[in-house]
Amino acid sequence: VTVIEDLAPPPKVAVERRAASRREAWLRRLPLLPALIYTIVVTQIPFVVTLWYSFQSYFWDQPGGAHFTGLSNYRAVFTNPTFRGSVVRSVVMTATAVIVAMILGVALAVLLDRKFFGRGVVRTLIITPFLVMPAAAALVWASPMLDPNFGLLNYLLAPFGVNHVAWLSTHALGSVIVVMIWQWTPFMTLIVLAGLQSQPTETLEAAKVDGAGAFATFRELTLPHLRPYIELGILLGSIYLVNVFDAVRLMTNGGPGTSTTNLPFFLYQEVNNAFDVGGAAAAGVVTVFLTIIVATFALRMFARVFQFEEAR
Amino acid sequence: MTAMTARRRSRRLRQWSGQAGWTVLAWAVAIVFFIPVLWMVLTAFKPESDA
Repeated sequence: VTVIEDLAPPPKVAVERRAASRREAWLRRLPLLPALIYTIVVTQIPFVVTLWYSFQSYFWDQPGGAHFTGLSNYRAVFTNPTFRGSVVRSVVMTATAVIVAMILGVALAVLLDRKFFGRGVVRTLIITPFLVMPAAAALVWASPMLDPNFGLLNYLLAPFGVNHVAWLSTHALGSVIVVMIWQWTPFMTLIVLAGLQSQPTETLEAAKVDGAGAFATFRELTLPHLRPYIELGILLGSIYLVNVFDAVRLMTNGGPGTSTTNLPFFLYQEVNNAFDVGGAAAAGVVTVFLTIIVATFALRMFARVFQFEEAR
Repeated sequence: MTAMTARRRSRRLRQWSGQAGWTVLAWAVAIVFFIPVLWMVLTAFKPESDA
């Protein structure tokens, strides 16, 4: 009897109630639809168009328009030594800038979390570089800061025997990375500071009562608590910094030679100098996938480091 | 009583010197970070020939 009851069709009232709740759920989601459509229009459609162009042979300076060329653009991208070099440089620039900015960010956040005279002003001064437009920051560093003759850095280092160093020629990659670190350390500081201020004070007091030192408390309690904040900073920093263009274009123009040519600057050169829309689109698609791989790899690596620290 | 006062005074002095150290460090870091921005702002008030 029980089996027959279980197999019997559900009563009409229950079916109607389920349909009504489904309708209600859709009505609740309806206000989100404009945002969803906007997101698709501004993010997915340009990517699909880029994907389409990556399979086309299309040069701006040649008549005839675009025509399908299969995977030849991708073949050209992967066999191009300049592209491979720019991938390596992008990884080096991004990884160095993100890691150093995060270490400095944690240190500054710990500093700003303490009470001292003029804390509000110091916080504002430290955060300011992140508010400067990237192009303006690149220009300030390129000329008034790093100029071999009139630059402030050479002036400040002159007492130590450093004279007229052309930083953008002799240490081009390092100079660009320094600007990236200078601009992104405040961002990391802000994120980590938010994490520090959300830490419950009871646990810190308990650690103090138990006799834990400042370093042990930081390593065993604060750092594991900051883990999601550090991960977020690294993820966002990696995604943004892999796309740095302004600093490279305005400080070194990708040079000397190709020593500071990263992926975005390579794409710019492909379109602006070679007029190769198809090739640039293929390089752009490869860049998107590489960015996803780098971000995933960075997140997994840091998650593993923190899991190891927690297990200890 | 005098020993207690002296101990309290030395603790307060240690606290004060620690706080002064953090203040100096924080201000030094802030100035280092802010110098390029300050330079940019000052340059904005100069004529092109002086910039």
